[in-house]
Amino acid sequence: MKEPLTNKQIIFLIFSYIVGYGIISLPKNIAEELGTGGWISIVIGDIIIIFSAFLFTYLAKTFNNKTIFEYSRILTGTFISYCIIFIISIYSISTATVITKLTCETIKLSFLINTPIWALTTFMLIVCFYTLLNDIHVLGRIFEIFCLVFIIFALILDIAIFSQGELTDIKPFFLLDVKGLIKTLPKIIFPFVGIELLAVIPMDFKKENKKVFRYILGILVLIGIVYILNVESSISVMGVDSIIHYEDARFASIRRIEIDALQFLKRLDSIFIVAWLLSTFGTIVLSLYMAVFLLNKLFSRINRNIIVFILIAIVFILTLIPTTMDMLRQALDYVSYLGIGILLVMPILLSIITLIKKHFKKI
Amino acid sequence: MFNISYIGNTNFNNLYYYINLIKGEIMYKKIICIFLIPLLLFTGCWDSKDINKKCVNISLGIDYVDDNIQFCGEIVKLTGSPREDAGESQSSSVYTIFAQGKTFEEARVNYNSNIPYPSFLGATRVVLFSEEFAKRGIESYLNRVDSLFDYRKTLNTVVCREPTKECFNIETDKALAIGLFIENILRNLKDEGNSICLDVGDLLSDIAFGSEGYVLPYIGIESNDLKYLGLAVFKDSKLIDIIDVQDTEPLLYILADNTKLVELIPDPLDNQNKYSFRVHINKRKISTSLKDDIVNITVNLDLHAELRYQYYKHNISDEMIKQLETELSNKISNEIIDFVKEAQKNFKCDIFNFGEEFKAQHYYQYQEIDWEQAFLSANINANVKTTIVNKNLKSDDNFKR
Amino acid sequence: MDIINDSWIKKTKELGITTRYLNVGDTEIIILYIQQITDRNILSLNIIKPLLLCQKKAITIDKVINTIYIDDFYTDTKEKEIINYVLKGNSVIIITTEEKYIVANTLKIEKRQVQEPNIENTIKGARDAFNENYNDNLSLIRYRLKDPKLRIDELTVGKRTQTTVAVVYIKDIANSHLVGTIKDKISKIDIDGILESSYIQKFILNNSYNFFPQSGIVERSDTACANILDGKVIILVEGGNLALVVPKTFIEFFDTGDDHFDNTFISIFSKFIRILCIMISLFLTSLYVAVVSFHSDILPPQYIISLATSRATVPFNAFLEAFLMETVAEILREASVRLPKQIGPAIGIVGTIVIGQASVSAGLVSPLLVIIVSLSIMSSFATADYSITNTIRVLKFLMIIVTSVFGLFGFTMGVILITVNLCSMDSFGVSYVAPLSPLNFKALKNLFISDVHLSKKRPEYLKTKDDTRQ
Repeated sequence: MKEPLTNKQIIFLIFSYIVGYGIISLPKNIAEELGTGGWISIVIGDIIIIFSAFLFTYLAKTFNNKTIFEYSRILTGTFISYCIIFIISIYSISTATVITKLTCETIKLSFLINTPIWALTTFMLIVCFYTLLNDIHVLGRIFEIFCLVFIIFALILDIAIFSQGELTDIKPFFLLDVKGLIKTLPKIIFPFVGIELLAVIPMDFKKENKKVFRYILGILVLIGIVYILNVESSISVMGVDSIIHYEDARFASIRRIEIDALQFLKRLDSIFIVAWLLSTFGTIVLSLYMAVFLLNKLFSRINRNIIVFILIAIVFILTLIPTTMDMLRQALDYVSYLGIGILLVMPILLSIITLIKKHFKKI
Repeated sequence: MFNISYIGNTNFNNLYYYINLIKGEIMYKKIICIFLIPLLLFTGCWDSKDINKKCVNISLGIDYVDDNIQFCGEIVKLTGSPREDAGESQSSSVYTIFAQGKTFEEARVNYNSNIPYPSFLGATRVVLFSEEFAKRGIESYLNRVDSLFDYRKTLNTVVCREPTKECFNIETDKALAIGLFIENILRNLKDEGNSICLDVGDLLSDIAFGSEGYVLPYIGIESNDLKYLGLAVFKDSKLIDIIDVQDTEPLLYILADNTKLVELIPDPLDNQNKYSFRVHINKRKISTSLKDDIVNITVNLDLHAELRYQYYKHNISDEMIKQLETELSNKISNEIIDFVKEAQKNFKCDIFNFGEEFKAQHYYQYQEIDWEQAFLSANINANVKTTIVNKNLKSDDNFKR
Repeated sequence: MDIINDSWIKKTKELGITTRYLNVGDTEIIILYIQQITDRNILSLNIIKPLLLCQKKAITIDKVINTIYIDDFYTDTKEKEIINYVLKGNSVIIITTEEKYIVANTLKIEKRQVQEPNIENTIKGARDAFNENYNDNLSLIRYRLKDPKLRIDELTVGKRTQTTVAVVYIKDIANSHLVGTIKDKISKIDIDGILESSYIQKFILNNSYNFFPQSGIVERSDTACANILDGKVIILVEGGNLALVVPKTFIEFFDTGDDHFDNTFISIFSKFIRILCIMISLFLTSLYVAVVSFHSDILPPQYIISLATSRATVPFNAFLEAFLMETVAEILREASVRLPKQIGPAIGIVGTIVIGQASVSAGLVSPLLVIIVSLSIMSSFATADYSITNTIRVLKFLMIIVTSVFGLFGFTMGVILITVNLCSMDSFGVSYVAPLSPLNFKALKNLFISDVHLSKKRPEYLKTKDDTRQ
């Protein structure tokens, strides 16, 4: 019996996908742009994402129990639907590649210094392969558990770091620089890219998922809060001027504190490493899941496991291409721009077409 | 593919059976994982290096000797004989290594040629700068600490008066190693609020912020033992002056946490009697403002004082308490104002972190002025309010005889 | 009866069947039975004696039925089935002039008495455990559940063993789809013999390559009845002393029956201790390897020094030390299972003192590792259900290997692999990690605060027909 995805599983899938590699460099990115008033940009990014989530939910509600594969075909015809699927698949594969390579490079530069990079990527991709052999309802269960663990660890870390930080470092709270905000608007949305997972999750609005939008709203607010706590706690320990020099700002700020009262858990790195790896793993697996899902529907005659194997092999070969961290960061930027296109431009266009077609009662 | 006449019937049937099985879901997953993971794992463990095969540094010292940088390190001696210590947890002792070189890198190369195992810096407690080295500037070494991954940024930093070689050669019963000894001294002082201890992370943040001055604990050798002598003042990460232990109190009122200082107030009525108070800070707020291009800094302190004892027992009335409170407040505020004025005159740098407070409170104005210059001509005020809280379970007031 | 001829009688002799010829009146009556599985007293006193004393002339089958004192019998005409009935322990009474014959139940087999449980120990609960006798087990269940809706459906499995398998459930609680699937799968089993309930488990669950057990093992009858009342299905096998309970989720392996009627706070506390024990048993040794070999700076500084000095004499690296010590512990465990009673205590002393203490003195392992290994062995026994202990043993070695290559990264990936494996399993349509996910706070709360007074409904994930308890 394949049970359908419950509301909670959907929102935890979204959480796992959105919160990924970015949390390690989030304080640096936010502090660079706006200093101590950076939390405003997180709030604005959150609002934009909520708008995008609303559009996706609206599309899913109009076409009950269908995913983008089906409704793009109804709305725009076969050719454009194939284009959309192609773009989303390319996007998914690139996200997976870039994030895998970034994670493995960060690990190699931090604590596994002598391990060759191909060993780390291979191991990670084998685990992803094993996970992807299962269907979405199993993935929903897995990430429900991982999300709970991650949120608890993140809260513990934030409370611990705040207790060691200084309030003067995060003041002043309100630094409004409207011009700067508008200039860096795409970069504000980067931490939130990932809501497009809603396009491939079938939601049944009649039975299980009636109130799913409320849950989605809740989880996006929670993501915003997690990010704000992340940024503020890191800045309170290190200070704005210091944190902009560190790419792995969060990790550096955790290694700057020691909490004597906790005795054995004086140094908190291990909690952070485990939590961060869980969240990155979620991003990689779910982005590959998007590609697997769409390609499986497209080539329905090929066995799903073979598609997974081919995709993992492609990702592995692609991870061999970028060699330095700078290339990787640029690649991440480009992929995030493409992601913003997918999560804003595409649902807006599709919703407009839906409204038009509904008006003419074609649906 | 296969020539059936060469393979017996049973073999071929088996092969067919296995191929069909492989096409089934379950076997597929397990085969890939069962074969690939061990292939990967048995190629070797690249990074595993046991802790007892590394040299665990407890403390490090940097010195300038004959125009060369000298690294001194204390390394834990790992006992190699199991018999004598069977069943007991082995106590450790240390040995010291000295290495010299023109630059940090050269000194490190000489250091590494002297030790049997690779160096492990994760357990280092203290980094000791000699006065010679501190006078030339510690910023370069702090950036070096920043770049090494396993060098923790929670190291305590200390300046010592004598060359580090002499410090490390002291034999003392008070601790197993000099590094541990210094760390215990610092922790004791910090817990009591008697000193300001900054670790490397704090220093790096201060330097990045652009604040020019900070203070570090200063120790020296007295009668063959290490002793806390006061605070060393740094400007632009170079040592410029020393503050003696007795004179550090006003600085502690402004900067330190958990301060519990003792103040002695002479009795206005009786010349010989003195009141001994223990003062701790209830609230501390530094308010800054900019008016007519002059910075005004006000140190607002809300103190709670506890009467420990009187030299000679007297009756204490309520008016006397109020008088004592005013005396205490005046004494402390005058000390603070004098000290800050002296810092403006002698040290010429802001060692009190007033710049950070100003930036936090007036962000845009901070960007416009040059804080270094502005501090030198700033107006300092101290607003101290003391409340005598409890009298230590002694009822000295209004005795009824 | 046509079948009775010399060759047939010779065949019955080969099979060990004893034949007793009686002449009652003018008719010849043949009684076939196997001595080893027949109650010869009942046969002699209740069947043979009344027949011999019967003086009637024309003997028909009805007259024989009215003469013998037997409570459970039936008649049949199929001649080919006679030997099968005799092999099952019945006595077959053949009247040569009749077509029908009587099959009388005179089964008597040697069995163990109802004794205390071995694997499911308890402090306060009842201690009558199942034994290998099918009727004894069913009597224990019927003694506790007197519901008219209790169903005991019997199926025969095994071509040569002809074992009876009972599927026990309550008709208006258990999910009918579940019961139907189970019975369907059992009836499809085509094998020459099953000897134990675990054979059934392998066939119906199709989980030969899974690490975790998807059905539970029940040894005590009150636990079995509690499970039946919950809406689960119990499978009893003739000749096996453990019953299977399906469906079983992962978190239920931490639940003993005692928790339901013990002090609420003690039961929550013990549940946390059990979960902690699983974590310790799985992860502690690999964390030791990760910290010693890779991330030594995670520990507080004074402990790094004492860890380094305690390992100063060890000739191996941390991975080999941990692996060897765990292997030695497993050898001791395997050996102690099969010890004769006289040598048992001696091996305990040899194991702990000689191997543990002496290896530290010889400088082969560090004292910390001995503590960790013994702690992890002890805590693996703390689970409520024995089946999961073996999984933990195997997975522990996997975790050690993965951690020793990649440090904390490998540790995290190992945890992810185990979690993915757990989540991808279903136990007869119920998600293996329910109620943790899909997240159901009520069921989770009832599992932790499993007080009989407080849990008014059955867990939702079992999809029972009737979910009210109170």
